[in-house]
Amino acid sequence: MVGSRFGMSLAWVVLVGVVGICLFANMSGRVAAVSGRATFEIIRERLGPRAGLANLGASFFINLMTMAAEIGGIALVLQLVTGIGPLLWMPLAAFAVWIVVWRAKFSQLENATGLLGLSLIVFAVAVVMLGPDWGALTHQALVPTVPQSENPVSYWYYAVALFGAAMTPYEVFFFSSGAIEEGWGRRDLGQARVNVLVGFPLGGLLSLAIAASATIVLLPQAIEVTSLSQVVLPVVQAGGTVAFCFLVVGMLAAFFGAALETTLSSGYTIAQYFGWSWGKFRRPAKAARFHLVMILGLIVAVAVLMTGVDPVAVTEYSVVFSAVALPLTYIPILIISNDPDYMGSDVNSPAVNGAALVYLVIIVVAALAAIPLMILSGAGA
Amino acid sequence: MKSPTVRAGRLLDAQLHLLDRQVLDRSGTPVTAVDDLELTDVPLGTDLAKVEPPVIENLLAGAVLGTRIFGGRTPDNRWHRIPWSVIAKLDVAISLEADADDFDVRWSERWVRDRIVARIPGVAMILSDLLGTEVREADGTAVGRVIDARFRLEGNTSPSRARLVGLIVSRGAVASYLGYERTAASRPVLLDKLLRALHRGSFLVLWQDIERIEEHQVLLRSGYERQSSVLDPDAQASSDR
Repeated sequence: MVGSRFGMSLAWVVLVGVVGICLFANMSGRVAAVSGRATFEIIRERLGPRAGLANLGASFFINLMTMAAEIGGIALVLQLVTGIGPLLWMPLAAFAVWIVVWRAKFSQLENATGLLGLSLIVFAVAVVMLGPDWGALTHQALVPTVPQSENPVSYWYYAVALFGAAMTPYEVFFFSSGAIEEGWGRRDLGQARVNVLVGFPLGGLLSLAIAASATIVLLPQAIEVTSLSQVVLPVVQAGGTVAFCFLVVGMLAAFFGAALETTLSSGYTIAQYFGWSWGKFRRPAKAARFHLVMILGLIVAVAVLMTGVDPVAVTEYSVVFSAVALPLTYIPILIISNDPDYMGSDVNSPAVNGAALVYLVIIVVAALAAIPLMILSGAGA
Repeated sequence: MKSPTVRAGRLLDAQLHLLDRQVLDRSGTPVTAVDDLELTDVPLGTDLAKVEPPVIENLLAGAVLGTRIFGGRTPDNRWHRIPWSVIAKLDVAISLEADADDFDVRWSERWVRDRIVARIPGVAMILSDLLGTEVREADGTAVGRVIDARFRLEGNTSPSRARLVGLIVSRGAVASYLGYERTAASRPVLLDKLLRALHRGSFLVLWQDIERIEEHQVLLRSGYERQSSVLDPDAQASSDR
């Protein structure tokens, strides 16, 4: 989406964000594997109930909006394929998400959506098939300049939004809770690192490919992405029907997978803050409030969609707000992963701490700049 | 045996080591987070020279969280208490020597479970979930299906509990022994022989040899033992621990 306006000049933000999420997700996974404590438990433990509640409110709200956007995404893809309006698909999509959350095993739901999401690789294939001017693309990415037609304030507004999206805390909540769902211990730390180093960069690569394909096809024609069919346009132009089919499967899986992750995260965060029992590894009867939170979350998400607001716009705003709350999540993770009470001998190495401190500065700057940039740029207009 | 984390002489800072920590019951089920602590009374405005220092009586949870965040004070009867004496371990989480459902603080969990979640199918385990389930060894080899579950009555109180002893596994196509698994029933001989032949190779796996029960399969531990599936009620009774 941003690709059609800014070309590849914001690609560096995605890179910075992906390295950051790898760093902190790995840290939260290590804390969970070694101490058995998930991220929101340690947030409340270190920040206390007040700051913890503030973070819970912000994170839960963003999570809910992302959930709505993902369910809206599923509905839009189904509309693209069937021609039937999204209002019918929204409740059905939410119900499908709930059934999977209620019935499927954690490992199934994690692997299946991940594998199918790989078919989004068609975006990368499309970039190659479109036969772009590679020199110009890489030049844009490596020597970023604000495009002539754009206001620098908008450029930085989108930079903060992209950074907030790449470092969105629900991924950390999901990853650390997942480590406990799968019963990770000290011996699984290597596996955890592999998962982080493969999964998150792949996601980042895909978003760059989407941006690149948009840059190639849409930027020259001055088309701004306002609907899903325009995101699809580059791929169809490059690969025809087969690519389109791959794309539909990939988008469905990606939206569905993200909907599952955000739904579970909504349950994880609230249950961990209040100290309730949670998790897919327990039967629903043993984690009743956790399941109730997710059911209510899905109902609210569908209700929000039904009002007719544009879920994509809602997510855009919510990632900016999420940037404000980032320090409240990442500071406790950094502190606890250095706490020998929790980590024993597996505390952070100095190199990890060095990198984390650099990121902490970026995170705090982004958090402070988010709201002023939003106001000054008129939300990126 | 108590954990070394609760050894005499250990110093704790309440805010750091106790408040907001997760409380787990003896099976590791989360009970609550520590929302506040209840101390024994200290007389206000008097010389403390002859007064013993207060001790922590209870971990508190529930409505006190609201007052910690927003200020004010809730009536004492709205607090949920967990007595200090049931604490078994004071680590990054606080473990109790008690069951989660012994405490009032889980009333909302129980209410949601009984009133809402229990109305959705797929919540609790029923016997039919087990019967017919495929049984596999640790390396994935299928060894048959569950055809029955054997229970033992325990305790002298009435009504006594029936606890699972193990699962009866069979490769046979016929779902049940039709009663011929009992030593006492062996007539008509022909039927007895036929059904026993059909269930040749069926066996009992004890609970301790079962590693995991999943949605559609039962996994056995490596090195599990195949016990005779013959049901001799008296022999079982005499081996009752």
